[in-house]
Amino acid sequence: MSTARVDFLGRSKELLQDQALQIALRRGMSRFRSLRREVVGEVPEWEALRTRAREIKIHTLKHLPYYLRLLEERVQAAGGVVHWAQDGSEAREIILDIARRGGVQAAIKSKSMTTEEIELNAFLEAGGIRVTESDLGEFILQLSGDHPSHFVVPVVHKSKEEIGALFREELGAPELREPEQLTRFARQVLRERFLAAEMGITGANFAVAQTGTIVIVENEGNARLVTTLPRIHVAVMGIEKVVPTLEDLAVMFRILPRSATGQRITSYISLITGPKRLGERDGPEEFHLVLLDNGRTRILADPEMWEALCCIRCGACLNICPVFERTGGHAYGWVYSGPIGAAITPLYRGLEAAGELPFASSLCGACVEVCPVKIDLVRLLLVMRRRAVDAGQGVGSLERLGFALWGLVTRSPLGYRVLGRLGRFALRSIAQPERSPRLPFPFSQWLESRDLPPLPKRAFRERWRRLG
Amino acid sequence: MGFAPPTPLPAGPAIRRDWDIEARFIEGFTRAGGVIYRAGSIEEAGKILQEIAREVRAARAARWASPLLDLLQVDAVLAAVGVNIVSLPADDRELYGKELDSVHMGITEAEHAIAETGTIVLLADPGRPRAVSLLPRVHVAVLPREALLPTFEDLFPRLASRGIPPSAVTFITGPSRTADIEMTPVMGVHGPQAVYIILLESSSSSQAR
Repeated sequence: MSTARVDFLGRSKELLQDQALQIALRRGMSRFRSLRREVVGEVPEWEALRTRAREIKIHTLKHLPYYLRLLEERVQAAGGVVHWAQDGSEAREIILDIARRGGVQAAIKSKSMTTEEIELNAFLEAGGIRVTESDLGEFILQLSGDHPSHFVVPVVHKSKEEIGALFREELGAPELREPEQLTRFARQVLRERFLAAEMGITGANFAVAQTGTIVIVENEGNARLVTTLPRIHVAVMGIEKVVPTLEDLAVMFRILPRSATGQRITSYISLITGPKRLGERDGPEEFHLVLLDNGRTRILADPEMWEALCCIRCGACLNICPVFERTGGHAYGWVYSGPIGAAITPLYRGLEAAGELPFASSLCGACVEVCPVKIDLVRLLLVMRRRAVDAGQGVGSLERLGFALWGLVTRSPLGYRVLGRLGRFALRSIAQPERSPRLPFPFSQWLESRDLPPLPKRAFRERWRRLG
Repeated sequence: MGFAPPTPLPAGPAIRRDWDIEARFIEGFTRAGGVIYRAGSIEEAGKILQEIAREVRAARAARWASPLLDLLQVDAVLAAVGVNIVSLPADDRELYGKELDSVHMGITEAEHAIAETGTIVLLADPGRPRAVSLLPRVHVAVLPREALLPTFEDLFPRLASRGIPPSAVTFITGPSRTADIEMTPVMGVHGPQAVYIILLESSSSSQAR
């Protein structure tokens, strides 16, 4: 795993200058938001569903050892093989070993954030296995050596012109202008790869302990192909993805697509239980489930942060986040971005590497409102900020001094009132219409990545007095 | 926390089902880009199948082994409009894939459907391979009216009652789609470009009535 420091502020400054990215992000995120609003609005019991989904996740996490053992037993009963991987390195070795023993030369993948997390592709390629990403967006990223910038639409940052040029250079495609033509072309190329691949690799959105079933939610149909055509299927899943029963899926099916893509349901959901059965014409002969820890049990044991494991990776918190909408996923420096990424990346990669991320938020709380499993992201971000500060990060000595002085003065009602008056007077005297005021050093630093809201003529306290 | 079986969660909230099952199903599947034809009899279903085959200019088709499709006389009905049913190579994985890849139309039977979302449910078994609804560019599913269930909760006990569920249970709502490039929706990215359902109101023959 890369230990390079995430430079959110530096990276986001570059990304903010990228006009095409800015347009794509605004358009994409606002479209997701309005689609989501529509399909959530048609469910009168939405809040009850969120509560239920959260109950299911918390119940499962509280009894995780039991449900994982049950899952293992049931997968085995269906003829599958279960592998336990303590970290990314173990998971990678397990998968390469499966490939080698199966004489695999070419593998085909569907979209999986977990395999991104363990940087599987580079490892398999180095081991002599050709890996093809088959999700259209991921395929484009793989061709350009790029990384996903969003959980659900990984390639939201690329224009059709860029993709057309990429297809011409990398695949010898003719001049293709429209998304439809580009998609058709990719379908042709990928069909060949599907037919040739000996191994299919997927993630899993859920796994059902009761039946040993893994669940894949998708629109393209590539995950269906990956689990249907190759001789070997390997599913890689974080241990937190298990749910107890099939009935629990009913709730998850109602919240996940609505939160992720604003669809009532996705085009396809596959429930896979073990390899193909005797006499079946297609489906894999071998089914492997790799259960990945990679820091998850550590998070589970963290009394303040374990709630983060409820996340179902829908991306709703990304789509609603005013920070994400401006920077996109690349600023976060790792596979998980947006509010959930800002909270959990430091847990996986350490505060040393990612201590800046919890500060990449205005704490507006919109993410908490939309989270389908009601994760209190604001609380998680604050916990991580505190830890970063305790570790000597995130706050400069000047800022520390400033807040100490502020605290000293505003402790008394008189001090608060006087400072408020002074502040309002000072700010009004330098205010410019339609823009955030510019302040001299050291305040200029504070405002480098923040806007000051316009100031009202009278303080709330004064208005309150008049009202009373 | 431990290995002892925990007390299961109490039942979750019921969801509103004040809608008409059939109307809701049709609305959901159609909204996702699928097409539904209703057939009052198996003869009518056969005619609809012929129309679809003509419309999509199918010359070759693959089908599931299913008593319902036999009852529809799918092979004869399609032969009458010049469509051959291919037999799929048994042992060679790559040949099997290539053959299905070259087929225009895959015909299946939906054993269940979920009205709530407009979703059909296909269960894999030896006569019902997964790729028939996946590799050809057109998928036609025959859905008996009595297979319609209101919600997912109505389906799951039926799957679990068989002990181990089928190796693949596939939920399908409309054609394969992507919006990965500039968020522009495109149908048929990996799976079928078009999905048709023949909703069979009655599986009796009109002549037998």
